[in-house]
Amino acid sequence: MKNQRNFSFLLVSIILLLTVFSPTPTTADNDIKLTIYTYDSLLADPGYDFIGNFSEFAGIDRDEIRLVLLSDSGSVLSRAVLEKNSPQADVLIGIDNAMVHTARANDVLTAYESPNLEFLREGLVEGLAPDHLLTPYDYGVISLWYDKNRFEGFEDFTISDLLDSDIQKQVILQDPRMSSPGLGFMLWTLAELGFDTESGDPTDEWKEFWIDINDDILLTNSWGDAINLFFTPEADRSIMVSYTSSPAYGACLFGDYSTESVISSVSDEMKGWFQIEGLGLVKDAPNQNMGKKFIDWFVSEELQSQIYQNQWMYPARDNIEIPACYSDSTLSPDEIEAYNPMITPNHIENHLNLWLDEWEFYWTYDGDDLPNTDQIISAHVSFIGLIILALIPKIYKKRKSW
Amino acid sequence: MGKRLGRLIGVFPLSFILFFYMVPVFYLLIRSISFESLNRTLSLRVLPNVIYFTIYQAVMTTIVCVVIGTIFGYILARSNIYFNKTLSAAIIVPFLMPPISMIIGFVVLFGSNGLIVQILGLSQPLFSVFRNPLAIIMAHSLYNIPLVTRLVCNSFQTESLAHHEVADTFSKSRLTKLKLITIPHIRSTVMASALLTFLYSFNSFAIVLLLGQVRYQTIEVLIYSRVALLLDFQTAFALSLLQIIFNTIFIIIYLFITRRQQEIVSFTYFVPRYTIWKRVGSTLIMILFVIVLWSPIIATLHQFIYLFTTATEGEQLRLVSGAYLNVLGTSPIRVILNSIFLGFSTALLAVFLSLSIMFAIPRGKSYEAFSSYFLILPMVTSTVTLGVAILISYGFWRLFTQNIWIFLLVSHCLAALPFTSRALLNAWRELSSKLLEVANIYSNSNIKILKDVVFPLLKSAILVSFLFAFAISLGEFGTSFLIARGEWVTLAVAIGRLFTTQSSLLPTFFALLLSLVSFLVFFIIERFAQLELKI
Repeated sequence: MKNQRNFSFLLVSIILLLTVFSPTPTTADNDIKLTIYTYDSLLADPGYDFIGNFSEFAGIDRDEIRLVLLSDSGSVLSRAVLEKNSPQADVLIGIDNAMVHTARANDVLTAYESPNLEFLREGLVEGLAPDHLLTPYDYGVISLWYDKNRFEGFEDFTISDLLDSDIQKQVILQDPRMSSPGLGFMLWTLAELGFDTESGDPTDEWKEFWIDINDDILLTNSWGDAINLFFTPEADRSIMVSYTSSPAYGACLFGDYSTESVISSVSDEMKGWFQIEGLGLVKDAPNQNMGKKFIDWFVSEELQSQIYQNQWMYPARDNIEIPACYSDSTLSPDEIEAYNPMITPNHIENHLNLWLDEWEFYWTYDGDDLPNTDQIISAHVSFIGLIILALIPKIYKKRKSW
Repeated sequence: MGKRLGRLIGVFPLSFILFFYMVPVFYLLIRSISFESLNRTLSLRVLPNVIYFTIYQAVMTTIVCVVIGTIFGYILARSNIYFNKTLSAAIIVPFLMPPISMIIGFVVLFGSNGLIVQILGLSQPLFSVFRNPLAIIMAHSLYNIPLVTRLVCNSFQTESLAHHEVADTFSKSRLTKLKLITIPHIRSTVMASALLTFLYSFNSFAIVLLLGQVRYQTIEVLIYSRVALLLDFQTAFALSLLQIIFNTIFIIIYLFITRRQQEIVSFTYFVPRYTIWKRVGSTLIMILFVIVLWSPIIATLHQFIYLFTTATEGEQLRLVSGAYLNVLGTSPIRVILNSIFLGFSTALLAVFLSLSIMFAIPRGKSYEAFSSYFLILPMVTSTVTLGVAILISYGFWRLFTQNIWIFLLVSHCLAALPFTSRALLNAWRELSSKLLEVANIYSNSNIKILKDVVFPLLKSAILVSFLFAFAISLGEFGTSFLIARGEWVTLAVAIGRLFTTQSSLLPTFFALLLSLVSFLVFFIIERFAQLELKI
């Protein structure tokens, strides 16, 4: 009897515990007037409270805005795709000119033409999404950003300089499957080392490049992870894939000019991959009107003036004055020739999956030279054959015993 | 229990498995069998390497575990060591730790600023923890050696005394006895434990995802990256199909071996005699072995104490503040509450379903055999595959997308069900039929029989199932990492998300918390009943 009482007591306690520990959302779903998905480093350093400022602008409570921060822009898009049939988000921020095709193919965004488009820098809308699935809010040029105190620097840099294993041991790269600067870097290497414009097949030089560097370069999931390591002395990594605007971070905030960025120098011309980031309205979003209002505000002067010194990129809006610390520390984007025309939106749309597959293969490849496909197949066929051969006597023995 | 009532109760678990397992997996299979997805998958350049590495690391882990596990299982069983029960219990603890805690412990132990580097005063680690197949095999081995040791030890302990006495009569050498008695006796257990180790390593997700860092991937990690990173569902479906085929083959072989194993158990056991020095020596070896197996847990504890005591007050406060909101999506307190809530809910649901299964299945060998195959089904699909299947089948339902905890609860419950149902079915099988018949004679009320006869006798099995399900839910990583969102982040998912950041205090704290809870759960289970390690 006592045992049964104990048992009942245990059961009641568990149910009580469940009730007590049952976590409840802070704000009821019905009270949410806007849901935003973005990556965690957006306007984060030193930090601009875009939620608080937008809530004031829109006249809503900040608790009525749900901000979902994900580790990278790839996660933003994949989350939206997984929820496509029952959208939770109203606005996605951080999809760039390389990822827009995936968004388009998965039909997660709806076109919206903001009245503020006329104030944006020429070419950005066309470079990102002429069909207005995304509205550009900033842009930058992918570069290698390094600390001059720990690394002596490059002279007339080209991608092939990374084949030096001492340099590789200093470099942090982001996973192109997850991170937009990582993908931008991969496109930079494709533009420089080449690919077949018809089939999309990268050149052997490109393949050998990734085989050569895959041992010593450190790969992180996101730009945020990379910058954490860049500023951790124990990690001993002084070069990371970032943007030409990144040196302005130290220069503007701390008067520190010890970092520099580098892009390709080909025939006395600076060449680089331009990344244009945009925000878009989710198809069938629950709060379409508030989403549109947010997009308009995001390309307004109020927010765009915060891009330089919180996002450390160039604002999409044309009339924002560039801080002096930028001019002193960064390469001007106007002096850089874009690689983008070499890899057209059409190429990206048709070949991006192939390029990522190839990248994954060569990044994970163990050998020193380009693999011979026949050798791989025959090795695996022999391996499976050996297993079958080993099993035959067992099966035969079993059948006999049956 | 009346037949009709039994069938009625059986509707619950059957509907649950049908709705949340069979339908999603069937739907996934249908979608994977298309020319387009098979063609796309087979043309994946990385696929042969991934299959090769999946098998390679699983085979290597199995070899390491079987060799080391058999040697130490032998010492534990045969050397008549001191503190036998305590050491035997201590050996299995690391196996019950969630893999994600093991990874934190492994990195803290062998990493560039790890405990080994500090103790030995090295300038660089013994080996690279990341992007190194050796590290993955070591982590898997540290995790699985306890399982093999314990299972093989049990087998050594049940070796027949009579066989040895007969052999002694004919003055057979130790080698002949080993060949004719010991090896045939332990063979099926060694094979079963090897298969279990292979199965766990083959389906390993967290260890390979976090230590392999893209460079080394298993099929499981490839499925995850296809779905979560590349949105390439077609390939993920086909890869899931491949995974299911592999797992089905392994599990059928495993069940075949374990069924044979049950038939050859004897009841008088062989216990050799040892001198006191041999006993002391063997005990010391076993203590050292336990320390090695526990080293990731010890390193985590050491790291947490070091980080906490050297942290500023502000850094300490961050453990309970919202400072990690960006990475976690919620506060650390909420993460802990989520885990407790899901743990208890999973345990309640899994025990309820397992009890329903128990009452619904008529007592009889053929039914039990069928049920053991049926209940093991969720193990055929890996956790990531299951997550993909549930997402694509029910992801469009607003009820689920707005209440993601339902998905989490269901997936945790499916992971726990094979273990909880087996524990309860075994206890139910051991209940005497005659006792139930007598109870039926004296009482017409099923509820009274349940309350006064069945539940008191099954109490410890229910408790074990409850705690085991709780522990499984707490450590579940694969499905949760794929589908957790918003505020519904669990401890295991939080560690995964924090793993690549430079903040180590919070992940170490979470890992330690998981380890402590698992240890507590194990301690209570061992106190009340014998832990069932097999599936």
